[in-house]
Parts: sequence; C-alpha cells; structure tokens
Amino acid sequence: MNQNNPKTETFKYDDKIVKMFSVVTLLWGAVGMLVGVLIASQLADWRMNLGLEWLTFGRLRPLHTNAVIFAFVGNGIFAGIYYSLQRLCKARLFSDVLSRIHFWGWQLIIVSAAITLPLGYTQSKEYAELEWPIDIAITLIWVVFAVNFFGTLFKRREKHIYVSIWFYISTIITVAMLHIVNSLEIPVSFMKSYPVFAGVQDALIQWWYGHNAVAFFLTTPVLGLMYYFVPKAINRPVYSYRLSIVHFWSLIFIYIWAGPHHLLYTALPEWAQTLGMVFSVMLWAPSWGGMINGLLTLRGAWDRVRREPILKFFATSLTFYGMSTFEGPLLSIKSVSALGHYTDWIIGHVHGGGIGWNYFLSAGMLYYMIPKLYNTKIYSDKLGNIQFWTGTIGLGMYYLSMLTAGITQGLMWKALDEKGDLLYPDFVETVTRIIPLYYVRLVGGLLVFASILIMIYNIWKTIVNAPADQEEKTYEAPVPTWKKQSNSDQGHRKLEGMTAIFTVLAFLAVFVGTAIEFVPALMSNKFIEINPDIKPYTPLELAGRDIYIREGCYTCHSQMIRPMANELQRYGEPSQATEFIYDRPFQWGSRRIGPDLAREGGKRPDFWHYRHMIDPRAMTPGSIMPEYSWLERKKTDYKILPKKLKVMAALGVPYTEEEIKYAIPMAKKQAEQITKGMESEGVKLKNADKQLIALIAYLQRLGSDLANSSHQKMGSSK
Amino acid sequence: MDILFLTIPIALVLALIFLGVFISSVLKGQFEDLDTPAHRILLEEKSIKGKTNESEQP
Amino acid sequence: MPKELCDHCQEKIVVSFEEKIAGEVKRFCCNGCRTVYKILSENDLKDYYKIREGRSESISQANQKEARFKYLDDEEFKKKFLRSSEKVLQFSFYIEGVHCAACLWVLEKLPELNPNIISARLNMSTSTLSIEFNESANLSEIAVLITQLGYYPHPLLAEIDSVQLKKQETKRDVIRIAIAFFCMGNIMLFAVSNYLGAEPNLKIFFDIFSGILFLPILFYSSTPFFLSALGSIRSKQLSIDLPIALALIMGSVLSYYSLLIGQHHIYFDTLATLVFLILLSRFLLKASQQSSLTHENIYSFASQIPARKLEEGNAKETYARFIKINDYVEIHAGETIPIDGVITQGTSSTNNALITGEINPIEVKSGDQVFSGCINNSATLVVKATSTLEKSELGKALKQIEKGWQGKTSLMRLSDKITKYFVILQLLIAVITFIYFFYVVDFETAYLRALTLIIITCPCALGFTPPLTLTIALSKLAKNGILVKDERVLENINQCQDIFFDKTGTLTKGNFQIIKWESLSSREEEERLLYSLEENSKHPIAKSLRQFVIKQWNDQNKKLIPIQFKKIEEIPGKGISAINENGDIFEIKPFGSQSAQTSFSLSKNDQVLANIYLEDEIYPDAKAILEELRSRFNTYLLSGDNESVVKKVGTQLNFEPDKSFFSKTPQQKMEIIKSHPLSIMVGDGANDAVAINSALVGVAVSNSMDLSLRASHVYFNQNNSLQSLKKLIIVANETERIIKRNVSFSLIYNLAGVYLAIIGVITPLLAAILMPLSSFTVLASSLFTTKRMRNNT
Repeated sequence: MNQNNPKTETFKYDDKIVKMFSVVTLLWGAVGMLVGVLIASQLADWRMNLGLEWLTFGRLRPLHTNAVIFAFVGNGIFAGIYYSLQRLCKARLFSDVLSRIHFWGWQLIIVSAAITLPLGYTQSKEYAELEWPIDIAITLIWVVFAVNFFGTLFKRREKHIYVSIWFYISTIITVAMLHIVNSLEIPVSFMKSYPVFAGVQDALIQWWYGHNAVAFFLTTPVLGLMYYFVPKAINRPVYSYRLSIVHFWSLIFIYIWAGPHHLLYTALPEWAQTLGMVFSVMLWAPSWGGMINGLLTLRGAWDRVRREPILKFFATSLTFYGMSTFEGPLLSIKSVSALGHYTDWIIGHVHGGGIGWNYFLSAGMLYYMIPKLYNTKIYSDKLGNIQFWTGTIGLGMYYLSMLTAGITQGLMWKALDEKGDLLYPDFVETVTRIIPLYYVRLVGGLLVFASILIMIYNIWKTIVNAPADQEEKTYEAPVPTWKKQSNSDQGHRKLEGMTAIFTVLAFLAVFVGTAIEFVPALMSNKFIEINPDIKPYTPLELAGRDIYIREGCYTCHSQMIRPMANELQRYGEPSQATEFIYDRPFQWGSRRIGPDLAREGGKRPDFWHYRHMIDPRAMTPGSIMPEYSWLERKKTDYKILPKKLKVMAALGVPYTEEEIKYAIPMAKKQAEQITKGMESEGVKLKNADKQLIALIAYLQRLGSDLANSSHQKMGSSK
Repeated sequence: MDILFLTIPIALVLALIFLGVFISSVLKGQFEDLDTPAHRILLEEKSIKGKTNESEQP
Repeated sequence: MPKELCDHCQEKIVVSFEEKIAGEVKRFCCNGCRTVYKILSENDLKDYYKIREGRSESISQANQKEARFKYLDDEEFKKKFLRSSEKVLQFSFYIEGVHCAACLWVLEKLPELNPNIISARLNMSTSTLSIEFNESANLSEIAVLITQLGYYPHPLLAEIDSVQLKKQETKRDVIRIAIAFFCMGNIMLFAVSNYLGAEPNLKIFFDIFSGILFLPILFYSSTPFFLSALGSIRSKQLSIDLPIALALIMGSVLSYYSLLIGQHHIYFDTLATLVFLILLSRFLLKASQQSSLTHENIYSFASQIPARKLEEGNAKETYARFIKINDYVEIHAGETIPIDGVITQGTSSTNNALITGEINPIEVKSGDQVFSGCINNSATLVVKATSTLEKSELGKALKQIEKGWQGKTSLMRLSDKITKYFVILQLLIAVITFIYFFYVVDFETAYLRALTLIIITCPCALGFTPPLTLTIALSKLAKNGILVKDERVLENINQCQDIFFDKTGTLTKGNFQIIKWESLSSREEEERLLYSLEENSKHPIAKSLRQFVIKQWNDQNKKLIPIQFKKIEEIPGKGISAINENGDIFEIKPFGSQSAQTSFSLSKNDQVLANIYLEDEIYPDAKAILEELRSRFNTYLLSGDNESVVKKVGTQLNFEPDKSFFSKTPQQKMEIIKSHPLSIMVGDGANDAVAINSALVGVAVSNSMDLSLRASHVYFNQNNSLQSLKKLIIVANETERIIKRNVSFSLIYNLAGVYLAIIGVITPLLAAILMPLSSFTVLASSLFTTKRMRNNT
C-alpha cells in the first residue's frame, strides 16, 4: 500500500521478460528465414543441398514452417502479450518464475525441433511435425503460459477487459485444445509414434488443426496486438471499439468449423467439402471487419505514415492481412481450388499472410516497444525505412512469382489437346517450365531475409546505445474497488486468481479424459467401412513407409488423385476414402512439386526406382529431386518392426499374431525377393537389408490393392 | 466420416465455454461502455520514481 | 500588444487575465481558463496539455457559467438521489464539454484533487461521470471542483432504480441474443450439412443435436414473445408478438414430432433464425433510439432550481422540490423565485415575463403574492411558501415538459391502428389458407403453407417506423446542436405556414459595435460609468458594451474599478437607471433618431453626458436562407427595437413592409403570434419566453439552456441560428418522407409475402430470413435517411 495515498497501490512492470522475448523473436526470425531461403534455393537448383542428408528439402521444409510460425511469430506474440497485458491490467505478471519457465521452456522446444527435424524425426502432420515428447513439452509450456496469463488477468487493477485481451484469451484456450486433439498419438519408441486416427479421419483432424492453428496462432493474437499497438503508435483511439468487440464475439461462437477447405476435391465426403467452402467464404466478413477497423484508425495520420517506419509497417501489414483473408476464401471456392490446390499459388497466399501480416506487424510492434523498454530512441529511422522497402519489394517479388508459377503449373496440368489427351503428359515438363520463377522467388526471399538482418542491426545498435541505468520504474494505480471481497489484502486476491486457473486446468483434464475414452469407441470397426480388397501393409512396406515419412517425401509428392479428367489420364482412378484406412499418418500431402504417387505401385519396375532414388536425373532428365544416396548405405531397422506392428494392431489394424511374431523374417524374405529380382541389373544381394529396398517395397504397394481387385472384378469398387 | 462424433462435441464444448465467459462478462458489466476504453489505453500511468527523466508518455 | 494565445485553450486573447504561476507569468483569455490552469499546475497534472497535443481540433474555452450547487448537500436530496453500497456513496453528473482523451484523463484524476473521492469513471458515449465518495465528502464541493476544471456538470436526478432497471434489461436482452446466436449458428451448420447430403448415420446425429440446441432458444430466448402474446390474449387486444409466438409453437411441434418419427420436416434452423433475427432487429431499434441526451436528462436540467430555506434564522441551501407549504425561503437579488408564496420581509421589483408576459418589473412589498419562475430584480426577499413546486406555475410548465414525450404523435397513433388490423388480417388469411389447402391437398401442405404465411408477414416494420425515424431525426439534430424536446415538434413544423423572427440575436449576431461616441464630458469617466451600469445585465448589447470598454482600458493598460450603486434597475426595452451613495441618478435611455442605428444616451441627474450610436451586424447568410424559406413560409419580422432600426434591417433582408412589426413588447408579440395559429417563433430564450411559448413551435436561440428549455420547444446551442433553423425544417420534412417510404415498402413487402406463401413458392426457412430482413431494411432506410438530409446535417 502506498502511504501518501491509501487508495492507490504501487507496482513495477516485469519488462525483463519482454526484453528477452523480443530479442529472441528477431534471432529466430532470422534463422527461420535463413532455412526458408536455403530450401527455396534447393528448388531453384537441386544441388544446393550439398548432398547432405540433413539439408534436403524434405527435412528442412518442416523446420522452416515450425521455426517461422512457432519460433518467430510465437515469441513475437509472447513479447507483445506480456508487454500489453501488464499495461492493460496495470499489474505485474502473475509470477516471474512462471514467465522464466515459459521463456526457457519455449526456447528448449525450438532447439529440440531444430535438432530432431533435420534428423528426420517427424510425424509428417503439417505445422505439427514434432514428435510426441516435444508435443508433451509444448502442452506443458502452454499450460504454464495460460496459468501466468490468467493469473495476471485476475490480479488486474483496471475493471474493463480491453478487446486485445479477449483475443489473447481465445488464442490460449483454442490453441491448447487444437494441439491436444491433433497430438493424439501412441509412442512406438523415443522418437517415433503413430497417430490414433487414420486416412480420411486423420486428414480432417490434421487440417481442422492446420487451419485453426493458422487462425488462432497467426491471426487472433496478432489482431489483439494490432488493437493495442496501432492506437498507441499514433496516439489515436481505435476507429470503432464497438466493431472490434462485435466482430470478435460473432467470430468465436461458430469459428471452429473451418478446415475442410484444405481438402477440396479429395476423398473427403462431398458435403463436408461444400460445408467447408461455405464456412470459409463466411469467414471473409469478420476478417475484413478487423482490417477496416485497423486501417481507419490510421485515418488523419497518413502524412505521418509516410515519415515513420512504425506506421508504414502497421499500414502495410493491415493491407496484406486484408489481401490474404480475401484470397483465402477465394481459394476455398471449389472451382478456384481445383486450379490452385497443390500448386505454388497456395505458397504465395501463405507468404502474403506470413510475411505481409505477421512479420510486418511484429516489426512495427518491436520498433514501438524496444525504445520504450530501453528508455531510448530508435538508432536510425532511415534504416527502418530501408528495411521496410527491402522487405516489401522482396515480398512483392515472392508473391508475384509464386502466383504466376502456381497458375502456370495448374493450367499445364489441366491442359488437354483437341483429342482430349494431356498436352504435357510427363510431369517434369511442368516443373522445368517454372524454375526461372523459383529463382525470382529466391531473390525475393533473400531481400526479405536481408530486411530482417537490417532490423537486427538497427535494434542491436539501439540497445547498445541505451542509457546504462535501466532500473525498473514504479507505477501507481488505484486499488480495484469493483471486486466484491471486502478484505482486499494481497493474499486473498492471489487465491482468487487461482480459482480461474483451476478451471482452465480442470477443462484440460476433463477434455483429455473424454478424448481418450471417446477415441477407442471411434476406432472400433463398427464405424470404419471395410473394403475386403484393401490389406494392411506388410512389415517391410511399413518400414519403407516410415522412411518415406522420415525423408518428408510428402512435402513434394501428394498421394491423392482428384476426380478430374486430366488427373484420371495422368495418374489413374481417383483415390477412394477406403484405400487409406491403414494409413497412419495419412500422406495425402499438400504440394505437387513432384508427381502424385497414389497409384505409383507397379507402374515402373523396381530397378527404375532403385536408380531413380540414387540419381533422379538419370531416369527423368531435368528433375529437381535430391539424390538419396544414403538410402543405399543405411540398413533398415528390423528390430523395431514387431513393436510397430503391435502398436498398429492396438490402433485397430488387423495384424494376426503370427505376423507380429514373425515380422522380421517376413520382412527379410520380401527384401531378398525384391533384391533378387534386380540382380540381373547388377544390384548385389547383400543390399537386401538396405533402406532403399524397404522404400521400393512401399512405393510398389501404393494403390496396387485397388488396381488388382479392379482387374479381377472389372467394375469399380464401391 | 465418423471422426465428427469427436470433433463436433469438442467444438461445441469449446464454443459453450466462450458463451459462458461472454454471459458472465455481460453480467459483470464489461460491455456497458464501448467508447471510453479505446481512449483509456492511450493514457499511461506516470511512473513515480522515474521523476528524473521526462515522465513516460505515449 | 501582440495578439497572444491563452495558455489554456489557445483562443485569441481579447481581454488578458495574468497570473504568476510557479514562477512564470501566464496569460489567459478568461478567469475560467486561469482557474483550470492553476489547479492543474498545483496538483502536478500538467500532462493534460501533453496528452491534448495530438488533438488540437477539440479544445474549447473553459466554461464560465456561474454555479450554485449548494443544494446538492441537503440531507433530503442526498437521501432521494444518492445510491450507496456499504459506506460508499455513488452519484453521476452529465458533463457538458467532454470530447477527448485529455478530458477523460483530467476528470478521472478527481480522486487526486479531492481525497474524499474514491473513484471517478467517465463514460464518453453518454458523457456521464459516475463518482464514488465517502460520507465525509460533500457533493457541492465536487461539483464546484468540476466547474473549476473547465466543465459544467448537470446533476443527473433520474431515480436510481430506473437507471439500474434499464441496465439490467439491456444485459438480459444481450444474453438472450447471444444464446440465440450461438444455437442458431450451430443449428444452421448442422442444417446445411444435411442439405448437402450427409450420410444417414450422421444425418440423424445432426438432427438430434439441432433439436437439443433448439431447446435453449425455445425456453429462454423466445420468452419475450410468449409473455407478450399471453399478455395480449389476456387483455384481448392483439399484439404483433402473437403471430410470432404462434409460428414458434406450430414450428417446434412439427419439428420435434418429425424428429421422433423420422420424417424430414425439421425446421429447427428456420425457427432459430427467426427468433435470433427478430431479437436482434428489436435490440438495434432500441439502441438507435437512445440518444446521449435522453428525455430524463432534459427534464432534470430544466427542473434544477436551488432554494435557500430559512430554518430558525439560518439559511440552508436545498432543492426547490423539497420546500413544503409554510416554509420560509430567502431569495437574493437576481435569483429565480423557486415556489409560489407571500412576501413576509423586504421590498423589491420582480420581472414576471415568463408567467404574465409583463416585461416592466412591478414593485412588490411584504404581503404581496409572488409566483415561481419569476426573477427577483433588486433586493433580498423572504417569502412564505403557499404551494409546493409541483402545484406552482413553474411546476406546471415542468410537468408539461415531462408529459411531453408520453403523448403520441398522430403518425404513431395511425401506425398502431394499422398494426392492430394487420394482425387480425394476418391470422384470418392464415386460417383461410389452412382450411383451403386442407381440403384441396392434404394436412401437411396446409400446415406448412399456414406456417410460412404467419412467418413471412411482418407487422413490426409498420409498428416501429414512426418512433424509430423520429428519434433518429432527434439524435441527428442533437448532434448539430439543435435540442428538440419531443417528437411532435417535428410533425408540427410540417404544418406551419409562417415564421416570426426576433431581430437581436436571431437575424443579427447581437454583438453591437459602437460606431460613434459623442462625448460631452470626460470620455474616461463616461466609459467607467457605462461599464458599471451594464455590469450584470443579461441583455446581449450589455455583453458587447462591456467588452468594448475593457478593451479600451486594457489598451492603455489602466485598471478598471467599477462604480458601486446603492440601487440599480434594468427595464428591458426602456434602459437602466441607478442611484449611487450620494444620491446622483445615472440613466441610460434609448432615443429614436432619424438615423437607423440603435442609439442611447448616458445621463447624470438628467444632464446628458454622452450619446452613443451602435450598429448590429446581420448574419451574412441570412438573406440567402430567408429567400429559401420564403418559398414555403411567409416570414415576419417581430422586434422590440425602435422603428428606424427595424425598417433598416427589414429592407436589407427584404421583408415586406407590412410584415415587419417594431417596438413590440413580449405581450404584444404574443397577441400577434396568437393571431397566426400555425406559426414558428424564433427568438431569445429569456426575454421573448412568453412569445416563444405561445407559438405552435417555439425556437429559443441564445441564452442559457436551462432557462430556454422551460419556455421553448426547440433550443439552438450553436450561435448561427438561421443555419440551424434551415436544418430543423429540412429534417422535419425529410422525416415525414422517410416514414411514408418505410410504411409503403412494408405494405408492398407483406402483400408480396402473403401471395408467395399462399402459392407455396417459399420454404419456411426462406420466410424466416425474409421477414426480419424487412425490419432490417426499414431500420437501414431510417438510419441512412435521405440524400437531402444527409448533406444538410
């Protein structure tokens, strides 16, 4: 209690944690973009992976997405939330210890991702590739963050909960629930696990998580930051506070249904696709509500936008937010998605939002916060402007090149000549055509990477020149009178904060409980339609499939033939939902840098694959696929196979007892059979136990069940 | 498509939680005044000890 | 001296007030700004100026209205109007002059300025400041503190529970809508999935879930419809909620029945959308009808009359409404007489203009009767109350203001009648369609057709249009500084044919410039005399004269000390006479001369010292606007000034000679207006009170808000009165056009709806969406008004 004025309390903000998060945001931003630039160079020229297993596109692409989303934007929103929450609540954070645990825990998770992903330990679920121990760590750290956040909120001295805090609350609760639902998996070994759901179910869960992770990790918290930092930067109230509250609440009640628009024209049932489309188009209104509210807050200050870098960043980020939230609903219209899906247009859309909205807004936020935290002025506004222009030009080049590449490739796939045959039958033609655009994208990416380096330099000089004495200031705020309790001593209020945290924890416990108890019921055969022709994978094929997952082949190859004329001719029969019931995790993929492999089984002799994996250019000149020479050296891990089959059986795959017991001899026998078949081509028998053979076994199995059964019955299944 | 038997209940439970939070905040009077908060965030508390340098303003 | 800017409000300094504050000399344009600056610097709140930097467009001069708030401390007042919860008292003020973050900041710093205040919280949308303070603080001190900060607080006397009740009600409405939205949103998603062909085992799952989600809507969100339907059945007169309740019952019975037996007639989505959209449109209607200045506020401003009660000799400030019969009240010179009563002590002259219209004051001595609302001119009086405020003259005028809003305009009465017949017709047609199709086709189609018909027809557009459009018009006018007391005024304007204009303050700016000063003795002495005579007169000319003299004296930086008079008397229209200690009589007498300016003579003991000639400046745009108004109205000039001046202004603004009347007393003005029943009178709030009150539509231009609101129907608080008059007339005409447009639209919509429903083209869901859509279009058309109205307000 402050003596001279009994009605107010003094407190200090915990700015130390905000400084830590801000600095680390910039570092991880640079790292994420470096990896991005590296894999972009590999698409332009495949040799850029220097022949190293850990630098191939398949393994680095997940690292890029995880680094940019969870490390760069993640740390950015934590910094912004901790800074604005304390100011909006006029209170110090709930506990300094929890803040430190949250900080170091999150950095540990990032480092562990940086190690495991290049080594190939991945679950192959986009934006959720990290293996099960890290998933658990993420959940724990997220709970620590939630406890710290709600504790501060209930210790607040300002009655009104500002709209930004509502956005943060929705982020914390929804991301927690999404992460748990998408991480339902059973571990096989320390760094390997199989998801509980398979095929179509796994696809819907993954993309329900995928869309909402983007929504609740990259949009709602950043909108919350926008509603705090933009008014503060230009010292003007937000255009219509009422609109921001209305568009938040109208969004949150029915938000959770989006997701299927990532699976248009796939094996997902027709009605679910159309529902996803309708819902995504509806999402356009609230997003633009946010953009208009933000942009109109800048009205009357446009001359300052020309001069100050902070306002330039905010104005451009809001415009890109509007652009990408218009492009999103457009892309989820079925006919547009028929052209855009699997092509680079999606990559243009993703980076329009990622760089344009997230990076620019975080940059503006940091340029506002750092001077306040270090009690000094920005080192040089000129550098800020240079950074802005390099970043914007870079993004412009990136987006336009990807848009052109996407539409060119999409149209080339669909092109039929007058007789109705494919105009570009072999796939590599459509890839070589757009390689020049990959170079343009690379230059764009380099410019954006350069812009963040400029920012790091600018911020570093600001911090170094800051005055030495950085003692924390004490602030004074009126005692909260609106709270009912009469004895408002410190202890009591802290306890009250606890009840809210207990409710959050209770929700998580109840939720996880129901999920786990619900799940077995779901997997019992009663619900899955069984097609007798589809058989589970043999042990060797399963080992090959896990190599396919480890190498991240899904980042370039899709396994989902869409019901369209050109895809029928190019790949064969459209994929049916029943083909994937044993696919754990599903490998439909979201990109076609390489051709679709859903019906690859039996199309080409084993030896073709053997040579192709070692030297792709030998079999398809002009291909940009990396050389997987180490698959010829490394041995398949037979020992783990029985454990894998046991886990698969536990998840409902009908493996018999003998198959589990004799898994290893069966696998070895199949391997020898395949190698013997290629002896005439000069493949030595001792290579039978190499990983390449297991991979070939898996590749030859893709889509072959349906092909054999249709030969016999000459009618289409189901 | 029976995964929906899991996702829909979870989605509804989540949305119900937000409905509950909305109702309790309406009753606590969070949305009575939807103009002043936009101005109030612009007014930062003045630091006391930090009297030496210029008081910290937006 | 260079033109300097006031250190507080950056206005040009006409008369500079200096003050040595914290070591430097600061210059201000008035003592209001000076007090504000002093308080802020003493309490280390100088950041006010830093916060305000960004927003220069919103600075205004600190208010100098004199404030009498003593009556706020009276025990009885506190008991009636102060809310208290365990030891903490709450009260709220309507603050005039709040417009930016700096005002918010300084007003919420009240606890630092007065330790007894616990918290002060400003709500900028309704510009009300709610304060919590402990018992030891007294309210008048707080009110005075607020005036010192440059804002004028109007105590809000609305009964506490009525405010609380309104808040609870809005909260319940919002929760009902939230639940309806939540259920409707998710039911729609299930319904859309079924339309798009979900597999059978999912379809049942979706239907059951929709059924469950519909229960909260049926049993909570739609209770208002069922209650009002029950109420209307019990009271035998049909309300528009009856068909809605009927549709809900019919729909849910059909849906739950089909759910049980697996039929496909499931309409949860239809009914959920119906309930949600109707609740939402009604909520928006109510929200758009709340303008910041509610009727309660206007009533509480007008009825704030402080009174000084005598108890065993010592005077106690209290509130006029608490004075009981036989109480003794002391009234100083210049104050309004709070209640009717008999004088027991002191003689003075009172001006009863407000009540009798008689402008020259009448001498009153002990034993005479005085009336509330009149002004006690010269000396202190003690009056014994013969009636309470309610029954007094003024009370009746206030009652009339409060009663004003309950009265329905003719349009509203008309639309209520239409709605009643509409509901009867609607139910009749529904029954006929049901019977017809029952025989011609089968029960199912008949049931469906009747249900669609009841849903599609929407009487609410008819019922809500008049009140909604009128209130929106009022809030638009309020934003343009035109305060209209109640909706009927707009309707009356449309019937008026003639407009009467007062000269000073309405057609002319009212700030008289002295153009010739014939000084027959020492100029300096005459100026000092003129200033002292005009010091506390309310007449517009007085203010410009005072400023003229002060400016002269400041230019030669001489200190001005006004002369003290024993007795001073102002007779509006006849001049001012005063007697100083040693018995000399000083007079200001207007004299008519051939030249057309207003002119008056300054004399001491009947010996003329100086003749002063003044010229009043006419509003530049007056001519153009009058031309426009003449296309619809015939315009009259009605002024108390002398013939030559009125003739001159008349010819300039080409009023016809027979339509300009001069040197008319308010009494005569009233007779002229009474002879033209359908007329608008635009004049000065206080002096022409009676004339304004007698016109069909009385418009008060200048003078204080409280005084004018008692007499007039409309009050302009912006100074360009003709501009505001034009806006008022345009808004009145356009409102009528909008109401006609909405009513015709709604009738066409309903006819089309009934026809389509009968021939079975629309499904119930489409009907449920179209019906509220008609209410939204009506709401939108009233909000967007017309092009002509938009570019004039």
